[in-house]
Amino acid sequence: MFKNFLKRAKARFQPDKGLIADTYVVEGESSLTHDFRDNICRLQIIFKDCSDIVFREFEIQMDKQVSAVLIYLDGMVDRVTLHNHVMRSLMGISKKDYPQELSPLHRLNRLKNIDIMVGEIKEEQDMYTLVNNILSGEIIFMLDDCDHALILNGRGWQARAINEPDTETVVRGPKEGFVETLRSNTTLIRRKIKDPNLKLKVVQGGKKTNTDIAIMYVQGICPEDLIEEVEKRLKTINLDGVFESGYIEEFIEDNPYSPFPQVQITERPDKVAGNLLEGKIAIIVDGTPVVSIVPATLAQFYQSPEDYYERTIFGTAVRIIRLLSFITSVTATSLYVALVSFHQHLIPGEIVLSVAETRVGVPFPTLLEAVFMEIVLELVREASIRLPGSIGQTIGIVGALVIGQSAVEAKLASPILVIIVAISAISSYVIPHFSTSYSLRFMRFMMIGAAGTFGAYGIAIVWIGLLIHLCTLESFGQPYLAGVAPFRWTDLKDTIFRVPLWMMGTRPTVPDMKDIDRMLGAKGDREDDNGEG
Amino acid sequence: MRVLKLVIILSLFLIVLSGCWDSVELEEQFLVWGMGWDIDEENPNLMTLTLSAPSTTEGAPEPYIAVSSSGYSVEEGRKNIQKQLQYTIEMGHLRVLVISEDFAKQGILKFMDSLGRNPRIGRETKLVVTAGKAKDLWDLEHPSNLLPADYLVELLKVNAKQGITADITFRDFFEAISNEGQEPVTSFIRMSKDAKMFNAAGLAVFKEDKMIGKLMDIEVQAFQFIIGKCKNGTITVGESTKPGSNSITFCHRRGGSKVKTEIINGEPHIYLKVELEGDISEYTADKPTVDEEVIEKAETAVTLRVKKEVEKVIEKAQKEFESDIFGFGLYFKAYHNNYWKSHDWAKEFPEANVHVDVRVKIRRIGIES
Amino acid sequence: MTMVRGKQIISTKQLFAILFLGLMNHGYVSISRWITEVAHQDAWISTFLGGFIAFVLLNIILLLMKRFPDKTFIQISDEVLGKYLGKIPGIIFLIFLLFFTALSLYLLVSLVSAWLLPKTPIDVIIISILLLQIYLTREGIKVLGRFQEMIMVIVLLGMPITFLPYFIYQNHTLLMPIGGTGVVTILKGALPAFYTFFTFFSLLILYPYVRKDASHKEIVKASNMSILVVTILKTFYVFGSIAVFGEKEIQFFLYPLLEYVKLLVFPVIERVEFMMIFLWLFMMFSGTVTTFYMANLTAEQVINVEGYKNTGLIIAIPIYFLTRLSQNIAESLSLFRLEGAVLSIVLLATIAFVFGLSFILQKGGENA
Repeated sequence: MFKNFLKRAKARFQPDKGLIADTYVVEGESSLTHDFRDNICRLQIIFKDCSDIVFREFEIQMDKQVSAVLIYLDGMVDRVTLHNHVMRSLMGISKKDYPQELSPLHRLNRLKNIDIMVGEIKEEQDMYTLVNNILSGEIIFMLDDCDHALILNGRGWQARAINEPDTETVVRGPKEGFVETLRSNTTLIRRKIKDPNLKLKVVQGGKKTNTDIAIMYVQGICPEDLIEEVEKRLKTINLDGVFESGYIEEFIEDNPYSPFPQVQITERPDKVAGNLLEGKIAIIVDGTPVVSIVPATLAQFYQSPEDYYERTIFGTAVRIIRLLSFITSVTATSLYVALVSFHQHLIPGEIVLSVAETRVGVPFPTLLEAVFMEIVLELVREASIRLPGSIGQTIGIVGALVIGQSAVEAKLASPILVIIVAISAISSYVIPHFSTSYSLRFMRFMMIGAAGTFGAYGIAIVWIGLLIHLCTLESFGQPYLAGVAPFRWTDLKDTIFRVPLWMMGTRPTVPDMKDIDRMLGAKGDREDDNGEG
Repeated sequence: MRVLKLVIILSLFLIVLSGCWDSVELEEQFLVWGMGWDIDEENPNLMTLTLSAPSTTEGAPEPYIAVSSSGYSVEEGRKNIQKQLQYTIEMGHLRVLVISEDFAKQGILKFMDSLGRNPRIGRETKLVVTAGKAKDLWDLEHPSNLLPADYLVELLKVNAKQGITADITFRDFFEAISNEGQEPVTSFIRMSKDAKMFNAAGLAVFKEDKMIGKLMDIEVQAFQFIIGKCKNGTITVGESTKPGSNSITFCHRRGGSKVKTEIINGEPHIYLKVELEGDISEYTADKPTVDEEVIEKAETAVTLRVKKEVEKVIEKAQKEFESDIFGFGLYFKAYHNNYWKSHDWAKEFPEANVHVDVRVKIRRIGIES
Repeated sequence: MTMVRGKQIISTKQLFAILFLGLMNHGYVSISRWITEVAHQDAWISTFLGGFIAFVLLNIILLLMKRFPDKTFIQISDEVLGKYLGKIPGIIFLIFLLFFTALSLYLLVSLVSAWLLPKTPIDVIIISILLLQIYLTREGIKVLGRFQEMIMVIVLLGMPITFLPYFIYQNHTLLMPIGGTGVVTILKGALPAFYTFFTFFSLLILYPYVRKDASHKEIVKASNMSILVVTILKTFYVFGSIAVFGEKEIQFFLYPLLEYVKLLVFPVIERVEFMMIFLWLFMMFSGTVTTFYMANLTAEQVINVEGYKNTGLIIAIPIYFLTRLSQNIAESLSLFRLEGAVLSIVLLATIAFVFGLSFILQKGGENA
């Protein structure tokens, strides 16, 4: 699978050949010149027909009257900073502060060092960088006769407030969720892990969008080569726009054709922080509250942060229920098909008669009946999920009650099947990770088909195929089924079971992890056998 | 490579599309609940096979259907029944096989073969011999409108639990008939006088696969004592219902039997020890107080009664049936292998000396004293 | 190390799983019939003895493999016998493996056919299993190891159910007299019992693939444990089925273990077999896939194309025809005997020859 990835990467990855230059530069060199007017002109050409770019020209009273310009993107800068700290300080300069004559560069330096009251200031000469900075909300300050510009950090725009994510609500636990701003998101994580080893690297993605993509990891816990690999893969992304973490997911995952998600996504900072401490890497894309976590294992998709907040017995019980619901969701309907049309002798005597009675008059064979009901269910689900709240609920109720009821009354489906389909549908939503339910439903249809052809044998071979497939999957070099295959006793404590936190002395096994102990002096209960090197 | 992949995918599709060789819809099946075997009335060389199934159609006049046909074997009979049915016959739910007494006397093993071969038939199917015709059984109109097969199965189950009868399944039958040193028995039922219910208290005794006699009522219980199935049940020792006389009912809660075998002077000796433990559940005396004396008396009376019955049954098996239904032979095979090899147990069994030792212990006396 | 798709190696735990399932699969459902046929009520002693013979032979193989820790049997014979002559043991081994795979596949297929799908063409069942096996073997021994490990966990979780019938229906007089059939009969029975343990030879191929930091001692431990556990389990199954059925009744059944589990009746669920069917299919599949994989690898090593992805497809064709050859179960059984007798002797002789020669020529080991 990794080979596949390399192949794709090779095909798509081309080094950046100055794409910005091709687009922006009319002619001449790309750095600023001493010609103030020319600099402004060039920028104005670049930002032609961009009415939200503001060129604010003014004069500063220094040793002499100097022309200056502030360039910013209206709406993306913080007005308070701009007015109070930049404009006011610049315009308040009087000639007596500058008794002797200065060179242009000295003027700029003095302004930077003494006058401008902004937290973060960078000096920059390169045109393209300036353009990028304007677009990401910085304020550019240029001075007459100076080939350097200042980048003033004045970012500030309307952002959504931090509130609880709808998709991952918990009863107990922090109620904050990620927002669309990268910086707020990284802050949310930083606030949970106050450790200098929590590292943050930013790369850019998207030829047109220039989206910031941040990689967060805890140094010492996360294996070095994993970080390198993630960075390498992120650099292969060759898209013009990155709007959501889903865009990069497809580029960095190992097996694009597998129905199983190989990147864990979440909107919860506590989940990300927990994963970082287990040696994972979080990939945060600017503009989306959804954070990706790699490498992913199947077990993770069955875990919710709440498991750790609630009592250990219930944590374990819930895990087991989820495991069962995984099996039920995939197998329940197909089991019904297999039993009713192949292995009637295995249906308990008390039940077989009532099943047979409900089947009388249904025109389709069981296989078609089951597929029909599953498709109806998919329709209802798809319809209700896109509609706004109240209508969506109505559709759900109409679909569930009316269609189910009338299908039974019209003898299109047997009521027992309706129950089973409903149970398998509910089971697929028990899993905390929403995308997993897609793969479950996909598997369910395959399973039903096989059960309709081969009965129980069909179910068994599809399961075997499924298990083989899961065994072949790897996420960033980590086996997808880590903990179960390769089997590690120590990992059982936080996969099928959720042992008390004080028993989780070691982190889940990640090859090459250095700092394996969660607690002081917990060493020793970890196996040397890491499965396969 | 691409071609190969295509071939694989195509073949997969072909498999799925052309599939469903074995699928039969549930509602298109004649779910055989009970089966009956008789000697054919017209031609005694044939057997009459009766299959009874619950009817699944709503509003059917009868809750169950029974169809009969004759043939030389079970499979032929099945085929002949199939000729009359729009459903596929499905044997997987067979709960009870009823054989008429006359038929059972001719030997049943060769007919059991088709049932043993069918992997869908469970090993818990009950095996019953009936006094009358197995064919008539399925028309029984039980007051509660139960399926006759269900009624029969539940009847046997409940009664076996109370120690009144033994519910013999295919498993027991096959085990007894295939292992040397034991002869099989099956449940035996009679129709009650009003032809609406059965009396389940009976056992049909087989020699090899031929029925040669039956044990009724208390004999069945004695049989259960001998083979050690005495977890439950009651024994009433009484004189008369008239005033001045009394009866005691002993209800045993636990117990068992032990068999020891010995060869003395070349003759087989069997030491059977039956142990029963329980309490008094009824004491119909004029002065119904139970004291030590009464308990002692009761213990003796019950012991004597049990011993008498057990001995009677053993003698019946030895002299009348000449069939080792208790499996004493197994012990000789296991512990006296040389004797076993040099003697024909079937001939030795009637002459074997059986020493019966019964111990009855009354533990509790109920809530009254 | 994390990033590169790891070298094709397995852990000792996975070695245990592969050996366990391979050994367990062979004769899992029919072993009590095969052996009681010969050794009557003492079949369980024979089973134990058969396991013991396999145990001894396994340890001999382990000792020999220690001399060539990073070579499979085929590569060893190449080294010992030279480039061309060295192919012959490999080819013998390959033929043996093909037969063996076909046979265990047939046992699986006939069971499915008899119990689940009587009317479905047998070809369809064979092909469906072969396709899955090809899929699995394409991914190499690493994935095979993981898969087997997982199946082992599932099988071990489900297996306790199969112990229940013994505890409910056992009748120990049926096992008496212990040893009553005589030493000769027991030894005779040990032979077919030994055949059911024959997959221990998979170590000849698997040994060099166990991860390098696992010492020889760990490999010995894992393989001995697997054969020990399987011997105990098989002995128990034979013991249990005799205690439940009696040796005479077992002869009526083609698959005594299935009948044995069929005795279990739970309220409401009624037939527990259904759950067991999945367990058997999982187990038998993973048992056969090991030999399939080994046939695969042997073929690759014999013609020196290791790592070629489509060997499985090519190997599957002769296996398919060999499986089709055995038309009915009775024939398959006699074939099993024949193969057991002839091929195993040939195989053991070949192995002995190769290793004997290596000793004489002083190749391999620390002093080479």
